[in-house]
Amino acid sequence: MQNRNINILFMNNFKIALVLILISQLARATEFKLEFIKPRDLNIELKLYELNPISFAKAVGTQGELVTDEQLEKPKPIKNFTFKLGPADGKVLALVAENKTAKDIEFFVSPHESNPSEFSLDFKFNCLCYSHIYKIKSKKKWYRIMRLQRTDDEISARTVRLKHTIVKWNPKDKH
Amino acid sequence: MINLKAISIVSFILVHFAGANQSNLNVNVSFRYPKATKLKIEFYSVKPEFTFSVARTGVSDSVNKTPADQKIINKFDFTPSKAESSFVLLVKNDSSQTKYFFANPHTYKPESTALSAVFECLCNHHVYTIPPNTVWFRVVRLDVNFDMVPKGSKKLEIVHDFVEVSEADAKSKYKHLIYEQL
Repeated sequence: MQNRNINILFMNNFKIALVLILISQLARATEFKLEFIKPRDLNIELKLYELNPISFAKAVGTQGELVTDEQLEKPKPIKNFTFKLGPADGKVLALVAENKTAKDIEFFVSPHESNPSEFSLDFKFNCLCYSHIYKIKSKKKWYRIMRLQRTDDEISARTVRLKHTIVKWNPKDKH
Repeated sequence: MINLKAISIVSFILVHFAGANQSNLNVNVSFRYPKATKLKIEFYSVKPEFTFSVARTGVSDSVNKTPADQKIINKFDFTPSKAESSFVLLVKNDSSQTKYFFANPHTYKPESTALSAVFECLCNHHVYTIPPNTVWFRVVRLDVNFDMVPKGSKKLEIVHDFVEVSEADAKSKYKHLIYEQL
């Protein structure tokens, strides 16, 4: 009987501790808002997913073609490209772009702007702005695996905006 | 005969300058500063012996002892025949306290020019240190790839956000990011 009471007491304390940790982590969390600005004539539809960090850890920085989004193993859609991360938290993400047009589309992404700028050493964003030109074939879906990882330090901002500008690439447009 | 010679000279000049104008690109390297900081990036030409010392970084008690030569403005003209330039970024700390700073990764304006230039600069996820009454310097290089300049583009701006770091942060959370400079 006494053992049972000790067990219940231990479990209750454990639950309380878990809730307190969760509350403290939520209180220290910062909202990250990913913005992708694209020109009007770039007809691609973008979606952002959270992926299983263990299955996709080694895939960060890769890209490829998809038939359905489900190939990304139960991807969780991220609404409004916005999510919260506490200190030392990270997410493995997939940016999926669908080309519904009858032509292949080539594009690159200008280096991202962080706003506010003073916290850029407090996280690492393995994204897609690496001076590369990407191609989405006609009627196909394309994905890029990315990771956003915070250090264990505080970020004294409610929201950090990370803005990428997508640029349509047409070799005929060069100098 | 003279007329022919004159015509050929005039046509050479016209073609040469028309071509040069078509291919010129002006690059403006700018820094945005927080209101609180008194530190400012200054631009200097590089002494010839340091032209190839890109990323050489250090501090000195006088500008003369650094790779910096003459003070210049932050605008650079490039042509396909002169598509790269090395220069020196310099920050003076006239105060009696050690200063720390880093630069946020640079962006390009307009964004469509982002593949047009490679800037080996100072935004490399490190924090730089400037002891009291010294000057900090870094040799940098800007390289334009004219094959990737969008048609009709004559200007681009490379923008860095300058961030001053407190001594407390430099010695704690950014301790592992302090740049090992000369």
